[in-house]
Amino acid sequence: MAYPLHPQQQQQHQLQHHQHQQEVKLWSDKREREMFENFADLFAIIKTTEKLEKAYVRDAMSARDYEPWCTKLIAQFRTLKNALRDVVPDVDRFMAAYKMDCPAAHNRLLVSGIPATVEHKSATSSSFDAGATAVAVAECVQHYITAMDSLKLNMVAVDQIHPLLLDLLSALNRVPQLTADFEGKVKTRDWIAKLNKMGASDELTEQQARQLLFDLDSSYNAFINSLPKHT
Amino acid sequence: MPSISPGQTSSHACVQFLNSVLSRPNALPYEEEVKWSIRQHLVNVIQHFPGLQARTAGFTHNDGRQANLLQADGTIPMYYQDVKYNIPVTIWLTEPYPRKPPLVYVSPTRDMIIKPRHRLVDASGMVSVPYLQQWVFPRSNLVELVQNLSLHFGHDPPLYSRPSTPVPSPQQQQQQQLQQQTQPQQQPQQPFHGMNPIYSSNSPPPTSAAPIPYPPPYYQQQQQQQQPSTRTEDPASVFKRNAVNTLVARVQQDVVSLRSSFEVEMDELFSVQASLNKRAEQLGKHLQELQHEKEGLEQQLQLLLTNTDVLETWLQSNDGPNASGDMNIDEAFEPCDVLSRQMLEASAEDLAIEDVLYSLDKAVQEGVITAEVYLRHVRMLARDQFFYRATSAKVRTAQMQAQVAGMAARAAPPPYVSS
Repeated sequence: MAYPLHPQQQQQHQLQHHQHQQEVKLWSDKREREMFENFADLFAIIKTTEKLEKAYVRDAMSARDYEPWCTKLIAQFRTLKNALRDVVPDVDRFMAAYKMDCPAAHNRLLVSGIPATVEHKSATSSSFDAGATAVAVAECVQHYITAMDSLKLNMVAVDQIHPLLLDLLSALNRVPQLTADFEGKVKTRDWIAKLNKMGASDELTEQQARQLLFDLDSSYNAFINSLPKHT
Repeated sequence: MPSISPGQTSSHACVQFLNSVLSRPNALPYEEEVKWSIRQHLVNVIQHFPGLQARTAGFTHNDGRQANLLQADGTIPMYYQDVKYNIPVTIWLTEPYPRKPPLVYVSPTRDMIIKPRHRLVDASGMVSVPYLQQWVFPRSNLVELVQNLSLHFGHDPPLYSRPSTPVPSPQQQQQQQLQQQTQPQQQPQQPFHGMNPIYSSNSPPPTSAAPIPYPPPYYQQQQQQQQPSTRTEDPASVFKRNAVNTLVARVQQDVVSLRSSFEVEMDELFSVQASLNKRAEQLGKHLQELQHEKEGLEQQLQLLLTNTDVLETWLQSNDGPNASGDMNIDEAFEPCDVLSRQMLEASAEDLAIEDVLYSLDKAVQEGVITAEVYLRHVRMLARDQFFYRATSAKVRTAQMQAQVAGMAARAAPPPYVSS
């Protein structure tokens, strides 16, 4: 047909043209299928984290249930994020692309990196147990020394420092004398968040390492000073 | 004696008159054999010169004898300085005519005088021209005679009008006097300048007085013939003449300036007219544009009204009380193509899962399910939801691509499309 189509004919022409079309398939080969499956996992983790946070905040879930789930999800997220760092360089963009709208998950997974209970742990009644306290204090000291030694030994990779700091924070949380805004805790939290943003194989710069060392040192001193003194 | 009135131009009447008069025995003293010639001469001359008429009249010879003779009486034309004048003459056909020449007299009126010491005309008015002296029968005739007279008089007019002649137009009289006054300045050999009051060699006629190419009656002849003799200056007339001149000049100037100012005004008015015409054109165009716009809007209005009617009828047919009951909501809308259907289903699933998650939220809040169960289900559902969401996103892009391709196809339909 060399002449322009009548509008009605045009519509039919379009319909016919579309009927020649196939349904859209999400993937066309196994690699794409694998990619989309991973995407689905990522999506599910983030969504679940969001629901988890909401439930915890609404008190639909106890802290006892929340913390292990959160830790698990954070760990799974970090692993998956690392695995997908080539296809999903920016998780924020991924979340925007699929219209996820998960601000709580975003905070938990990408900013804070630790469960809320760990973040904001304050003294609980159960930790008035003197024995547990002593163990916690000892663990804190141990973790402090381990972390500082690692830094001095130039083990400055994120995946080396981060678990140490995490342990330290957990231990600090178990010490009842320490308030939530104990400087050591705050600093440690900040450092954890910073490390969370970095890739697993990233390394601290010399300046950062020195800074972290200094922070650990000062918070350790503060910690020691906060212990009840023997007369 | 019967005569033909000057008004009758038919030579036939003249012929008749002559016939009657010549046929009477002993009425006229001419020889029988020459009567035909006489008649012919008279008829011819009257035909050539309508100012003349044939008459019989009594003639007194110089020796006292009296006779009843035929005469051609009236005016003959002469041309002096390209102006035609009529000279009153009488041509008497004596007894021996046509063997002997006729007698020609100028017949000045009361207002005319004969030019003194005229070469051809004596004081009594008798004219003697060489043609008369060399008269030969039968060749000579009256027509040639009159032509000769006309020629001679044209060279040397024999008659003048008197100065105190009452002239009908005072302007002409002043002109006459003007001419007379100018005469002393001119050469005295040309006293005849006074003869033409209306036309002079100096100035053109300022009035609308009729020119004299046509033979005027006696009346006008009087105006033409003037007396040049009075050279006395009349102060009153001089003043009058000067005043007239000045006034005439002023009037002329005023007329010229008036004319130029009128022309300027006319030009302005023309330009105003032109601009008004242009504006009228513009207004007409605007009016047309507005009308077109109005028509277009009316058409659109019509279209809208018909569409409204269509919609209303559809609504009535479909919104009736019996219509909604058997409607399957899910089949109320039909996706128009594959992509739309896919989009519809994917979006529906996505939103359905969202609803399920919401219900689960409520359930775990109320403690209907445990956190463990809740979170596991959330994880599974979220995973499924992802696939539907990703599919709908892909379908959306495919739809947009198809739309773009459709627009391109509409612009240039591909020749290979099979219908």
